[in-house]
Amino acid sequence: MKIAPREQFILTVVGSVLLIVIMVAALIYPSFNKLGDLDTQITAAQTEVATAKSLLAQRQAIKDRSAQTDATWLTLANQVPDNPDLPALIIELQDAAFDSGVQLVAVTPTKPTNQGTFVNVPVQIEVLGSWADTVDYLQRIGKLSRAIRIFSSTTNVTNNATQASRTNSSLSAYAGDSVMALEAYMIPASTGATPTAPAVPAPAGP
Amino acid sequence: MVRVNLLPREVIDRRRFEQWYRYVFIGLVGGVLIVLFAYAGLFLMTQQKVDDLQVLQEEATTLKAQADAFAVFEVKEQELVARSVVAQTALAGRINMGMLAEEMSLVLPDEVWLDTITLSQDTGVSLGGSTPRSSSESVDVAYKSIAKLLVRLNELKSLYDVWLVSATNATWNGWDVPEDDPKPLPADTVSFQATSKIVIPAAASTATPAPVATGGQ
Repeated sequence: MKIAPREQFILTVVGSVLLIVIMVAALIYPSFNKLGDLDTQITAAQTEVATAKSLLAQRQAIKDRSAQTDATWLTLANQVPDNPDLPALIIELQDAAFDSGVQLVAVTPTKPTNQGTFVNVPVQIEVLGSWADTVDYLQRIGKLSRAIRIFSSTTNVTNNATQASRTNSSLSAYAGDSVMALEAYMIPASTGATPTAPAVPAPAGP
Repeated sequence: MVRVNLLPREVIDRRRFEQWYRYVFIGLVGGVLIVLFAYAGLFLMTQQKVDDLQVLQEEATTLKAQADAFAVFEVKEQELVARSVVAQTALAGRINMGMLAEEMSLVLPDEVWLDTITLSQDTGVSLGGSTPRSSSESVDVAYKSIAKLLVRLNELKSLYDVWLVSATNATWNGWDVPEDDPKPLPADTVSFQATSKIVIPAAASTATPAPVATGGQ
């Protein structure tokens, strides 16, 4: 088949254009696509870096105040330990009684009761002393390192020599006999505590 | 002079197009070169972006590793916050019984003494006591003293709903004297019982709203 020169020229031009189009399609277009993908990935990576920087700054700040956090931990662990910690509680109650001038007559813990996220440790105590000393003792209980709720306090004047002499012969006349229902608290370690003191088994009851 | 082209038309056309082929070739080469240059440029840009991406990913990895190293502090603080919330819940609405007892002691009239006092978070305050009674109407003792006590208790911000349960004439004989000493004569008194509610601190407002203080008696 013989092709005329005009058609030959047209075919050549079309072939050349086609060649360039194919090259563009094979080289340029994929490159642009790849660049677009890379831009997306770079944007994502920049976001990731910004997030990581923010997280790092946040944790760095937390680390910087870790000493304060530890101190707060210690205070909180003293206020609300992760076990009944009755020995420390009894010692504190006894020391406060001594400092106040009242005489600690009885300490009667009862079985802890679970309240969901925390546990109540009820303790009933009885003290003998003047009303002023008893008030001082009530105030000292509120300032103990162990957080204690004074649920109730009943004070009766005891000028009965028999009752007074059974506990303290030096007790002044008209002293008060106070029975206080206290509540200490503990937060089980499962709530997120780190053990701070050896566990003390709960008392079996009065 | 007249020039006559005797070449066939086909030959003339071929020669004419053969001249244009040169331009087509130049255009083709130029186009190919442009495409190749563009590709080279894009390739370099791609490589640059790949490098940038790698740097960013390495930076992100490094930062994450550093942040992970500090995660233990964050976990500890979160645990502290969680335990603090639980502790606040447990201790919510604590009444400062010591301060309340002291306030009551301070407002207690001199001529009134208490035989029993109960401070309870649930039931409030319960007082039982006595005050001297005189046969003279002009003396401000006895029931007037009890009224004074009620007014003073009602003025305490920690108390509300102060009520007198009972007040009756009585004889008090609770002297505490040595056995050898003569015991004083029984005294005329007014024996009374009073109650009051205790205002729960505001911290317990979510669980136990603090009641609005009423006038009481």
